[in-house]
This record gives sequence, C-alpha cells and structure tokens, in this order.
Amino acid sequence: MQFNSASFLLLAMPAAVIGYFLLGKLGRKPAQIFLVLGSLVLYAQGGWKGLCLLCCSIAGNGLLCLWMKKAAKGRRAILWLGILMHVGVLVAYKYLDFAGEIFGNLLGRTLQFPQFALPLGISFFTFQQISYLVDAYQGKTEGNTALDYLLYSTYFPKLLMGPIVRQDALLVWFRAEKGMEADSDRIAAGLQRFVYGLFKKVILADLFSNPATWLKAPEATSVELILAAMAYGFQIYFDFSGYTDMACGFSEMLNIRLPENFRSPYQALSMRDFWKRWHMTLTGFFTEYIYIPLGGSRKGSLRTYFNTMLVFLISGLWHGANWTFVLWGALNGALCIFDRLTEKYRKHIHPAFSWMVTFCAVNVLWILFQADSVGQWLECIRSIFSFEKMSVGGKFLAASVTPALNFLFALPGFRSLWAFSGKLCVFCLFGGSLALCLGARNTAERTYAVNWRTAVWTAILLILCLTCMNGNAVFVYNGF
Amino acid sequence: MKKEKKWGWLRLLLGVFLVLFALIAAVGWYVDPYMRYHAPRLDKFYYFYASEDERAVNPAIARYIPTEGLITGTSMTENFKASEAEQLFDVPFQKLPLPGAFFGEVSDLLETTLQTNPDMKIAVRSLDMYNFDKTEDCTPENGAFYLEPLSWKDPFAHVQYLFNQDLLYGKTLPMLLNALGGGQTGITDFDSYCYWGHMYDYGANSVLAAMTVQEFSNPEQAHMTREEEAAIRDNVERNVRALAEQYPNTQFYCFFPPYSAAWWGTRQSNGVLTRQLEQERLVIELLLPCENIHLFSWNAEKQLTCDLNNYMDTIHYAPWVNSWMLEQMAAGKGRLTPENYGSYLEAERILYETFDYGGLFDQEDPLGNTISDFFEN
Repeated sequence: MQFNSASFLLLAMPAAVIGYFLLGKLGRKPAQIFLVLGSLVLYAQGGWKGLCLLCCSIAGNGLLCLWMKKAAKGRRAILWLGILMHVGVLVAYKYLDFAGEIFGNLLGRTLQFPQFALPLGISFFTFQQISYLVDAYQGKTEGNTALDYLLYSTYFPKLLMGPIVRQDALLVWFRAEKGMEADSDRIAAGLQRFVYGLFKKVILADLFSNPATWLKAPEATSVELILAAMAYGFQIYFDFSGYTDMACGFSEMLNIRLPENFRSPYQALSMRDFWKRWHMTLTGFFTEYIYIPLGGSRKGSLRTYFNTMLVFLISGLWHGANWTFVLWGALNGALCIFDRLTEKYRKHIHPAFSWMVTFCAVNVLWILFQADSVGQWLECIRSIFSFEKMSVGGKFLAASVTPALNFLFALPGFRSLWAFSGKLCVFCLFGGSLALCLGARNTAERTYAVNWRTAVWTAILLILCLTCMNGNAVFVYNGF
Repeated sequence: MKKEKKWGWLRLLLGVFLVLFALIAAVGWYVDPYMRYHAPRLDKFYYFYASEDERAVNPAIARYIPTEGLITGTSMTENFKASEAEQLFDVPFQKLPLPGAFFGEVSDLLETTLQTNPDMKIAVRSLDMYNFDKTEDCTPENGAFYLEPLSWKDPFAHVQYLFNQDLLYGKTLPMLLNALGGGQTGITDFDSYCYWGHMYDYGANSVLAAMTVQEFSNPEQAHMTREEEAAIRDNVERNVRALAEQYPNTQFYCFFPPYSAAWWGTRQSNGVLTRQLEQERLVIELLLPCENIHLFSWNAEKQLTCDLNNYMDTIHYAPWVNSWMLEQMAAGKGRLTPENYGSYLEAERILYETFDYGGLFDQEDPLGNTISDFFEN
C-alpha cells in the first residue's frame, strides 16, 4: 500500500497509530507484534508473491544469524553465504535479463533467462538484511530478540523505499522508555511532516511528471528539453524526498525516529557535496559496507579514486539493470574524483558559479537516469545543445499543468493571466519550484509549531492532496 | 493543561479536515458528473463529455436519459451525428460509442438502454469484422478513463470518485461554477460527443503510414477453423441475436463497417482473407433469420473502400461516410437479404481477391480532405 493512497491516509495510518498506542497500554510486545503484522498486511497489498519473497528473505537471514551465533567456527563463511544468498536473490529478480544481454553479446548468441516481476522494495530490504547479517557477524545484535529482528525487517515506514537504517539505530527507539506513550507533540510534528511530504509528492512531483516525459518526445525543441530535464530533476527530488518525509513523519507519530535521507541536495556546490545531501542513507550504506572496508581514503590517492569509482558503479547498478545506470554511476564517480582532484584550485570560484555547474551536471545525469538507452541520452543531449529550435509549444505548456491548475487558470482573474502568457505561468511554476529547493528550509530541519494556524493549514493541505491524488501515480524509486 | 492544548491541535485539525471532506463529498454527490448516485439534474447543470468519458458515462446515460433511438458500437460509430439520424428516422437519438469494444460490451450497453427504454424503436450498431470471434465480455484496457461500478462494500471507491482530481477539477467544480453563474444547462449534444472527424487528415498518406505491412503479398490463405466457427456462433447468438429476440419491437440496424481496401490487402497478405470472408458469411447466415435485424454492408462498394481519400487509417473512415451510411440505412440500400447475400459475398470475394493492392501506393492524396463525387451524388 502506498502512502499516497486514500486507503492509507484515511484507514491504515490512523489505525496503525491508534492500534499501536492502545495495545501499548497492554505492554510493548502486543504493540510490536501488531506493528509487525500490520506491516506485512500493508506490504501484501503489493502482491502475495512479493510478500512470500520478503518472508523467505527474513526467515533465511534469521536462520543464518542463529547459525552464526551458535557456530564456534566458520562464522565468516556463514556471513559470505548469507551475502551471496541475498545478492543472488537480487540478481535473479533484477539483473538476469541484463546479464543475459551481456553474456549473449559476448558469446554472440541470444541468451534468455526467466523473468520475474520485481517485488516492491527488494533492493531496500535486501540491503537491510545484509546490514543485519554483518552486524550479527560483528556481534552487534547480541541481546536482540526474534521480535526485534522482525520489527527491524518489516517496519513498514522504511520497508519499501528506505531510509536504509541500521538495526541498532532503529531498535533503540522501540526500547525507549516512553516509546509506548502517545505524545501529542510528536504526533503533531509527525503529521505535519507527513502532509508536507504528501504535498511534495502529490502536488509537485506529479505536476512535473508530465513535462518530464517530453525528454522522450521526438518533437521536443531545445528549450522544451531543457525544461523537461529540469522537470525530471524536480520530479525525482520531490517524489523521493516527499516519500522520505512521509516515512519519517509517519514513524515520528509512532515515536520512532528514522534517519534523514535528504539535506537540500539542490543547494550543493559540488558533486561530492551533492552526494552528501542526496539519498544519504544509501551513501552511508555504501560508505560503511564497501568504501571503508576497501580502505576508503586511507590507502593513497589512486586507491581512493578506485574505491570511489567502484562505489558509484555499484550504486548505478543498484538503481537498475541497464547500461544507462552503469554509465550514470561511472559519470557520477568520475565527477566526484574530478571534484577531489580540483578541490584546492576551486577555492576562489564564486559559490553561485559552483552551484550552477553542479546543478547542471546533476540534471544532465538525471536525463541519463531516466533514458531507455545510452543512445537515447546522447541524442537528447545533442538536441539540447544544438539550440536549433528555441520555442516552447502549446502542447508542452498543456502537459505542464494538472487538472487542478487547469481549473485554477480557468477562474476569473487567473484566466486572463493564462491568456496573457501561458509560458509565463509555466516558467513561474518552474521558478517557484527552484526557489523552493534553494530557499525553503529542509523539512527535516524545520520546527513544527503546534497552534491553531498550523492545524488549519495542515488540514487544508491534507484535503488538497486528497483531491489531487492520481490513483496511478507510483513513486520513481518504486522501480528500484 | 499544556497537553490538553496539544490534543486540542489534533482535534481542531480533524474537525477542519472532516468539514472540508464532507463539503467536497456533498458537492460531488449533488453534482455527480458521471451519474453514479442519481439521475442527472439537466435543468441545473451542463453535463459536458468528451471521448475520454465514454466508458465511464455511457452506461449512466443509458440508464437515466430516455431515448427512442440509439447509435452504438466501436469507434466506427463515433462520427455519426444523432441529429442526422433523427431527421432520417424521425425519432430522438443518442450516440453512445465504445471504442475498441467487443460484441459483449456493446450488448451490455444496449441491454441497459433497452431496460430503461423497452419501447425503443431503433438501435444502429456496428459489427466489426475483426471482432467476430472475440467472445470475451470485456474489452482489453484501452486507456479510457474507466471507473468501476460504485458499491458501498468498498467505501474507498466512493472516495476515489468524489475526490478524483480529473473529475473534481475537470467536471464537478466547473459545472458548479457554470450553474452558479447562470450558464447553459443540459448535456453535450450527441452530434459532437466523441466526434473526431475534424481532427484528422484523410487520404493515402495517412492510411499507408498506419499500415502494419510494408508491402502487399498473396500467400496461401487459411480457412475458418471449427473453434472459430463455434466462437462466432456463440458470440453472435449471445451478444447480437439474443437482444433482438428479447425486444422484438425494436429494429436493430446492424452494419459491417466498410474498412478500406488497405485493410483487406493486409488480411490477404497475412493469409487470412478467405477465413475473413467465411466468417462474414457465417455471421450473415446467423443474423438474416431475425426479422427485426436489418443487416447492412457496403464492403463491395469499390468507389467507397478502394478510395483511400475516405480513410484516416486502414479501417477508420471519414465522417462523410457515416452520414452516407445513415442515409443508405434509412433508404434500405445496402441491406443484405436471404435473396441477395450470396451475390453480395461473391462480389466482395472477387473484389478483394483480385484487387491490385499495390496500386494503393500510387493513389493521389490531394491537399485537404476531399469528398469524392461518389458521396455527393
């Protein structure tokens, strides 16, 4: 079940919060069992096959952890067996087709492997299972009960799309002294953050999802492609950071604090800065489990560059099984290495220029991120920089407004504004969104006031989002 | 005391939310643009519909708005004008097309209309030749905005309807504002409803660009199988004849949409021309015994089907063909009877088995959409 659905908003979320705290009066265990079962029920809305895989992954990983705990020798082998099991499942579901294409090309024949529907959140829960296994190997899970393990593995707010969280960072909140007491402050703050996240997804991300499709429109002009690239950049940011806000906000209502995933990434002044602000928990996972074990930056410059590139290549592959993602990872890695190499020479460059270059680079790479092939990306880049056609057509303008905005622009007063210049209205939407990314305070850093104004404002935003929900609008990161 | 204030925040939020929720739901229920809850308030609002509303609203129109004549079928019926049918047949008409529909879905819609209007006089219906053996009740998803029937067992279906962005901002609120401003009332007229005739170019360039084969050929032709024959008998019996037998006072004007020669050439190139002709013979023989079914076909009209200027792709004809067909039906021309259907099928077979399909590539495509003399005379 998605956060941006009426059934979640009106039924699942209130039921989860009320049920959790009511059962919490009976004790932690009933409330936590309720949370585990509730999470599985919500996950099952995506299909029973995905639920079976999740259960098998949890059961297999749990057994390996138990085995590791009891084994006097060979703990390292069990760890690797577990990692191979998880990576193997991920490969089977996500990469077989791609592997078939690669090996088929190498062997000069067509290789066809069976294809499975990708279960929701497989990349996220697989990484978290690996994380738990590594922690078990390092003895960091001593004292965890089976219920703790199930809570960590199934906790719904972070199950589908993160944030990727370590077991100790999550379980500490379930053990907090007053964790079972409903806290009106935290519920108010969590609800406000959830609604801001919903607004980002339903109003902003879905608004930009239409013009973003113009990146694949053969008739698009250079200016339309630039706007479409920006639209995709806004879409993916509002979509994913909106999801994170909803996950963190919902979790906050349950007195569970999830780690942050975004820190105003479009304010970054360099690529390395960007990756410290974008999908922070994934970057953290790669840093902790790949970059640092490989030596990080402790083994000289060359090794640092190699490690950086390897992490970004894996990050690219994690996002999808296509050469576009591999190249996207490689280019991000290359830009981060370039960033390191030129760091001391860039001190006198004006921050505005650094920001502009970084923002453009990120958006050019986002085009690759959504392209079906590297050739399509190159063609798109060629079309943008050819500057052959500089107009913005009526079809693009029409694609840039949702039914709600259409209604707004048809109202007296606004009608004349749209008639005066539809282009101006659309540019204002883009400019406003950019200003939001650059100027507004990050939702994670805000303080959420509890007064009558915020209550009314939150209710209005919530009802606005409810009326703008598109039943088919899935999250971009659902595909990973 | 302070805590009490904080819970008050949540109560205030809930209160405001519930008031707004109830207000929007009430407005949605009252205006009810797709008539999910009640008959349309034609004297208060203007119900405007376009092609994307067809599947959502047709059953409701059939249920609530009385009529004596109906035009229905696939996209082959979208360019008919109800006003022309009214003039020719002298009864009020509605046009409720279902693009891409199989016989079963059209039959369901017809049945709903007939239940509301048991004394309906005329139903004009297309029988698409590529659908003869498609026995499924539902049409595959075609991207149309389709709402499931609302049931109180699923309260979220009501939320999805009442709070749907496209409906609320695209229909409910504009209808409400129009009514408050004293605007027009009523419903989209059945001439312009789903009409796309003015949106496309017609002629060889459009048709040949839409073709699925690059060149015509004449491989060995397959025959109709026993399974196909059984499927067609079942399809025609359940979805065409049954209604005619149930409503003997309604006259069913059924017609085979006259696809272009390019379509027939594609059938031949795919090795299924003979099978197609055998299927058509079977359907004709199944329908002719019904006295209240008037079956029409103009497939053998060479000047119509072999002139690509009458088409926007291999099957979709220009609106002047719709007007012409209505006139033909009203005049009883092109009607198949037990006496003439044999000669019709033979003429059709000879035309499409011997036609020089390669010549279609050389057809001229004059600038602008041209109505040939065939229709003006």
